[in-house]
Amino acid sequence: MADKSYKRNIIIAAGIIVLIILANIVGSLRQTASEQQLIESVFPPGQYSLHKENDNKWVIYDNNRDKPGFLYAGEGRGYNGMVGVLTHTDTTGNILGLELASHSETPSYIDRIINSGLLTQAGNINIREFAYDEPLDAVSGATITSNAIVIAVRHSYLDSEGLPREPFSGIVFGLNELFVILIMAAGASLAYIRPRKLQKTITWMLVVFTLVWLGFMNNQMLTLTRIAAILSGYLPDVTRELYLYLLLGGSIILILIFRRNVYCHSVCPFGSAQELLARVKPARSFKPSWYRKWKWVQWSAALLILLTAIAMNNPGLAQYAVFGVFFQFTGSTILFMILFVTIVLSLFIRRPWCRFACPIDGVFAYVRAFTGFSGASRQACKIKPDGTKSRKSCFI
Amino acid sequence: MDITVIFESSILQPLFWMVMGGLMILLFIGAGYWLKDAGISMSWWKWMLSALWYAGVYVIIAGGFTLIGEHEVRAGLFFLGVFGTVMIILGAGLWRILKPNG
Repeated sequence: MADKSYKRNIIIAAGIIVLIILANIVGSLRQTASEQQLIESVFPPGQYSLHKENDNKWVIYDNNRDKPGFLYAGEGRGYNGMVGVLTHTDTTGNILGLELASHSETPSYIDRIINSGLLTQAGNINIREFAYDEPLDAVSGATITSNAIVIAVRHSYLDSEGLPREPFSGIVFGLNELFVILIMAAGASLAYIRPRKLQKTITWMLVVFTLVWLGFMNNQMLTLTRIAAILSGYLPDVTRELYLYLLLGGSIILILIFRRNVYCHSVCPFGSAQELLARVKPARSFKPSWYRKWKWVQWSAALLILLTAIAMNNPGLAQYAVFGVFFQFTGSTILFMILFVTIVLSLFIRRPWCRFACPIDGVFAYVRAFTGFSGASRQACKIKPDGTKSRKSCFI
Repeated sequence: MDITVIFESSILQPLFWMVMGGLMILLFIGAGYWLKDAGISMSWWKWMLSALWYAGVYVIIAGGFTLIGEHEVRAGLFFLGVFGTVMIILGAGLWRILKPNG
């Protein structure tokens, strides 16, 4: 039996690697619009004529050969990938318009940016002000994307004028990073704390702290879109998002070493929200006879969506979790409805989202399959004296 | 006689609210019997919490549908969805207070 589980883990782990590589190959084969095509989609050749000055700058005229201006093209690091921005200026550098040329951001973030008027606010600013300053305020709830737009404008100007980019600011280890490490450590230690009262106290401190700090105040959590972006080869900016590396890296390391999914049990803010809701009624554990079979459906759905997002070169497609809706009030109507059902169910069933729908649970289940390579896991998958299989370290 | 004149009568609105008031009294008397039947003992503060919750539900339904009626459908649904969910959670908490073993 142990050998069977061991072999299955190896097959699953190898299969996942192969599928991710294949999805990336499909993604790279997909035709992406060239820079020229992107520019022409915003400034049609019938209405404008463009003369390239360098890789980041064009002289632009309208059809009557009057109102000359410049067009700058640049990229900034967004939430799911690079955000390409076209900046149209007059000859003195005053911005006439900002256009998003390319991005793979979550649609709700882009909606938030457009509704905030960030792109139109740039209309009164000179592009030189972007050089070493941030003349536009970040949009709350879409901070990373709005910062990416500012950086894209800055880099397009600096690169086109041959000016040096801002120096590397260094990795910032702030409060967020410290708290992420403390939360992960506290979550991991729960399994080894024996006094029941102390264990309960730490559990409740984690529930409240992760919900308030990670969830509502900083919106720092793992989502399938971020994982899809990383697996597509897009690495988030380490200077601004070190916490993400700590959160994801720490969770994976803890699974590989201790075979415990600390993130889902103790760190996820939405898990904490469900835990709190479960105490209102109080909710009961619901484990139907088809639960284990359903887990395969849940995990397969996560894998399928992840691979689709990678193959389509669009990590935003992988957004079906309700985290953003709950903590930021952004998302589609369907996601709001799913959230409503989840909240109501949480009053009666413990952690319904985690147990029946969460894609992150699927991601970590696949990470758990990689523990099958270790000898310790091979031993742990053995049959217990009572005849049941030890499931702590087995894939399922 | 034009029948629509009846619906434009100024007496209908006060009559409507009088009927509604009567229904409320019936509802609370009925709730008292139902709670007794369900073996839930009520004190004055439990009645007060229940009434507050009930009033909250009314305000949210009234507010949400007023927004929808004023062609602010998105805002109305948002209002009903967010505050309705909060009232469901508070309702579950209230039920726990009323019937701790339920």
